[in-house]
Amino acid sequence: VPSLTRTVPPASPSAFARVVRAHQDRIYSLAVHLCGDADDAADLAQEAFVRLYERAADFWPSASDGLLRAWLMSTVRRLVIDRHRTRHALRDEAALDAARDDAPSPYEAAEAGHERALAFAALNTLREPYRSLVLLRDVEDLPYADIGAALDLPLSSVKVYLHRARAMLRAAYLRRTRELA
Amino acid sequence: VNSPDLHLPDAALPDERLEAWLDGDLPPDEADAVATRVASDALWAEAADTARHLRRTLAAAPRHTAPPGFADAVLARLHHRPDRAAMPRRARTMPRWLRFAAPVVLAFLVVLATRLPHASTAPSPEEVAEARRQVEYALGLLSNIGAKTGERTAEALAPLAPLDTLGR
Repeated sequence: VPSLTRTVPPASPSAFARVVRAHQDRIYSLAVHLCGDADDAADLAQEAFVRLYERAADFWPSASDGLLRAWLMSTVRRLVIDRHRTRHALRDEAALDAARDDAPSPYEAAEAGHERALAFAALNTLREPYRSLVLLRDVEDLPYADIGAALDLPLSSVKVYLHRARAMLRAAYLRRTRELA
Repeated sequence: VNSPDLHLPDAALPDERLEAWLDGDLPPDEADAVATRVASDALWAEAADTARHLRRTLAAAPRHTAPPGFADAVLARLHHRPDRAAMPRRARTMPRWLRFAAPVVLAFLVVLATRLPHASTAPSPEEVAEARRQVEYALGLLSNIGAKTGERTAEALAPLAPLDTLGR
């Protein structure tokens, strides 16, 4: 959505709704992938937008759409971590690891074919930040710079970590397919 | 399988170099070594196929779309949290109590300033006496240097106004 952030007055809720509509699917989709529950995902994605509105002065009028999207993704990821840390008394990345079990959720399984379900099941076995790296790059198709901003990783580390993450994903996927064979 | 590159010994299992090779991120010599291994080693070939398959599968996964009314729900949240959302964060840095206390403190300072005695520019008699003592002390020092010098100094000061009239 080019230049939208440059034209929206941050203090106007109705205009802000346009920004929400421009980014809501991507942010919600990431939230679903991270926490595996549609209701939780909607709740946390909406909260991310509310926080964006509260911090509007930090973004308007100069922030790019890519930066805005990266910030929203980082925020919703943080919210998922906080939610699960609160519920399960876990800490940080361990909370996000525990947010998903190995099996695909019914939500995913209903939508996805067998291969896709296997791929996501393997993906859900990865630790953070490896899982988020694969999600943001291979599922959400984000540029490396945005991934770095979303995960607070230097750009030079993004590719290295992503290669490692994909290797781990491939190994996990092969283990699962051999178990099922 | 004999690899031409020491980076890939015979026993090497497919690792993240394979992913880097698929992304085109390896330097030419390493890329050649991986390509050779993939072409000649069934394990590496299977790994490469799996990696490509996973990328295609994940990329083809349908993105979840936000439920209907998502944006309206966000606005409703903003509406129900006016204390947090009504203004940007930086505008809320002053505590509410300080907004009320600041005018009161300012008014107090203004009243205090009007009631304080103004400093006088004219020296007090005590200041004049002190100045006179200091001048006399200086004259004494000068007279000790030499009688002529002292005399000349006294003569030089004689035409000046009497010391007790200074500042009046």
